[in-house]
Amino acid sequence: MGTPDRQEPRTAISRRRFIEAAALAAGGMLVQGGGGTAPAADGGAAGYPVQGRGEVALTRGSGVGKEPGGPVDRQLLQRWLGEMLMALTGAAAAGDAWSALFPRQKRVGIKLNCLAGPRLAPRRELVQAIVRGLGAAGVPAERIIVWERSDRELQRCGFTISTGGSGPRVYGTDNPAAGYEERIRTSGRVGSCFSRILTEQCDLLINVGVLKDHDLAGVSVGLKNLYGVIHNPNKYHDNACDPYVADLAAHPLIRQRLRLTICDGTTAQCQGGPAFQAGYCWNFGGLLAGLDPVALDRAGAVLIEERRAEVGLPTLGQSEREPAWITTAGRLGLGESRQEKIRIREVG
Amino acid sequence: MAERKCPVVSSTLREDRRLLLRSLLGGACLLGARSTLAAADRGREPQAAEDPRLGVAPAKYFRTLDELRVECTLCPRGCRVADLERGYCGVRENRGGHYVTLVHSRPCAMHNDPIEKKPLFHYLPGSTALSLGTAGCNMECRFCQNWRMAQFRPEQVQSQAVGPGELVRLAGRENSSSIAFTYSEPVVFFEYMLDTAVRARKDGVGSVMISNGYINQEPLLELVKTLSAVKIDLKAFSDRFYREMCSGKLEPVLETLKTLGRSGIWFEIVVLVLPTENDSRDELLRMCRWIAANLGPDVPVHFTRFQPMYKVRNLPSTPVSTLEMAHAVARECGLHFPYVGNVPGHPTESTFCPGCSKRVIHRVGFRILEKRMDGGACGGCGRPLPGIWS
Repeated sequence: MGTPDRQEPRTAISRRRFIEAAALAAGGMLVQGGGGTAPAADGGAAGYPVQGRGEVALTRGSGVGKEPGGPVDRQLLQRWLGEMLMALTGAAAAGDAWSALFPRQKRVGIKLNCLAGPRLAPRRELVQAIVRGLGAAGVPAERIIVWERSDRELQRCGFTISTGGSGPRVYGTDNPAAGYEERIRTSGRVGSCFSRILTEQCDLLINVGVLKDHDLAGVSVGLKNLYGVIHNPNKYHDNACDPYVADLAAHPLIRQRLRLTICDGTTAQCQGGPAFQAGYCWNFGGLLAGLDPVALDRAGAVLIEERRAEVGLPTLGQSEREPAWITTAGRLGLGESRQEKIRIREVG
Repeated sequence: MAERKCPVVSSTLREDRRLLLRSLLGGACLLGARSTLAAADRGREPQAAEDPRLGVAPAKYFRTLDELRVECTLCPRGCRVADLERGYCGVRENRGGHYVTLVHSRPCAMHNDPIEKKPLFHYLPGSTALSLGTAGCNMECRFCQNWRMAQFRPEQVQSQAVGPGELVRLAGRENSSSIAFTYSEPVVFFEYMLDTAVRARKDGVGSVMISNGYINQEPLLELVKTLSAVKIDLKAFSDRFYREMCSGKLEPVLETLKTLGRSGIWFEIVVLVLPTENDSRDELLRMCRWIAANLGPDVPVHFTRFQPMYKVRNLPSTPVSTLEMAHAVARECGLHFPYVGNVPGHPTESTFCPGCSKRVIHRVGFRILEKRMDGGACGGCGRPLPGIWS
């Protein structure tokens, strides 16, 4: 966040606290507390406990993601993912961590955020690493669906559409293999038709976003990517997307399925999103992951605010797009939104 | 709103392969030009071919902002749209600081309807209108009767490429006196409507807009010059209803009605009456008084029956007695032409002369059983009747 004489956004973690937390985590001084797979005592409402409440794993490496959309080392990303999941679950090995989260008999959806195109979408190497991780847990490739709103968005980002064969399925909701449900499902102020990929073809969901600014929502890190589940996201951008992002995420069909959120920060963007704008990108060179989607969004928002301060941009609050929906999501019991409660586990 | 339509193109029109092929070819040229522009704007990233489900054309009525953002000035919503994002309507997209419509020449429903179905009762009664709509709407009425078109994006509905010229030719082939822009919300396919209306006027075909009236003054004034008649949904007379039930505001709709009144174009009003939401005598009284004072007594007002739909399934259909109460309130306020709608066979579907009180047009549903008019005047007393009759 900004310097002491700078007005702090109401909901942001202070820079000092954030770095302290990360340093403590790196030194192994944080107690596991509500982490692991045990439900937190103050877990979510309505019978859906938030696992790993308030915990976010972070990893960075110099030189990773210097070139937006350029190649990255898949094996490095795979190692990072394993270490992050070990930190989040308390498992002793990466395979055990994946297994703890993704039982082999489950069908797993990997929802990407490809709107901005190949230079600011989840890296293919990251998706490959996730698929490998699931494979290590024993999830057969054909039970994995990599998906987005449309085939075209996936293709534009370098993915090959596949609805059969022995590998993972890759297709959009607009593919004949999927489509939207006929019925309207409501959650708070959101009323939409959901993608059949979510409701009929996945048991568990990995939400893979990008560490980036969003012109209306403030940030698009994790939960905002769930707008790609519904047919009418354009109806829910008023008031900086509050409470809509939180309301959507609170729907039982999402809460039951969302097991892991991964944010690709190899290349990040602090202004001008959701589209790619080279002038506002920076080489964050890392990943974030969390079982608590709200904590991960808060942590991502802090990182974006930090970068904005570094390059002299006003805060998101001053830009009238404070991501208040993160606080709302916390209030709905979807995870930890309070800055002082979030613990960063820096690994790698 | 009386008109409901599934998002399909009627079989008779669908089979016109020659026209369809021609329009597809025309669409390909248009799309190619836009793709080149987009590629230049985005620098080195190669652009995929345009999505064939879209009808991309430059949008009118927007202004550019900093950092490739635009502000749509077509409707009162005034969406500020970042690059690659869409407005609230879901059919207008920012492409590198250029705002485009995605539904030009892309109807997802097309039928030849009686003009009474719009409903327009004082405009060429007994004629038909080639009626069409695209995906998208700039409101989200929780009781939307055509939500499978209006509340979806263009990629999510089945559509066909039919350009303005083809529409006018189809209207001629179907003996349609008019082309009706309807079903979803024509304001969001403004450019398609405008281009078609200009072309239709040259060929002597009328154009009518069936709209929520949620449009800014400048585009409305441009549009009115090309249209023959308009129907506006006045959804309620409270801003609360517009905000909570429609995600809109009342005042801009009233401004639209006043502008239409000043312009001299023929227009009629529909009020869909929802039990407990906009059906109080007090609200209807205020509405009718406002209409009489600001638009005059000769504007037809159709009080139509609600059926549970979309997100409002917990209310019953409007009792006929409520519609009759609304009709009586309108008469009490001095309105000459109130109607009850969506109640086939109801006596107030017919038009009565305000001079001699005799029935001049006998309607049942969308059918006209009898017309006792002498040109544009009552066949009984000779009093001129407002409207466009021939």
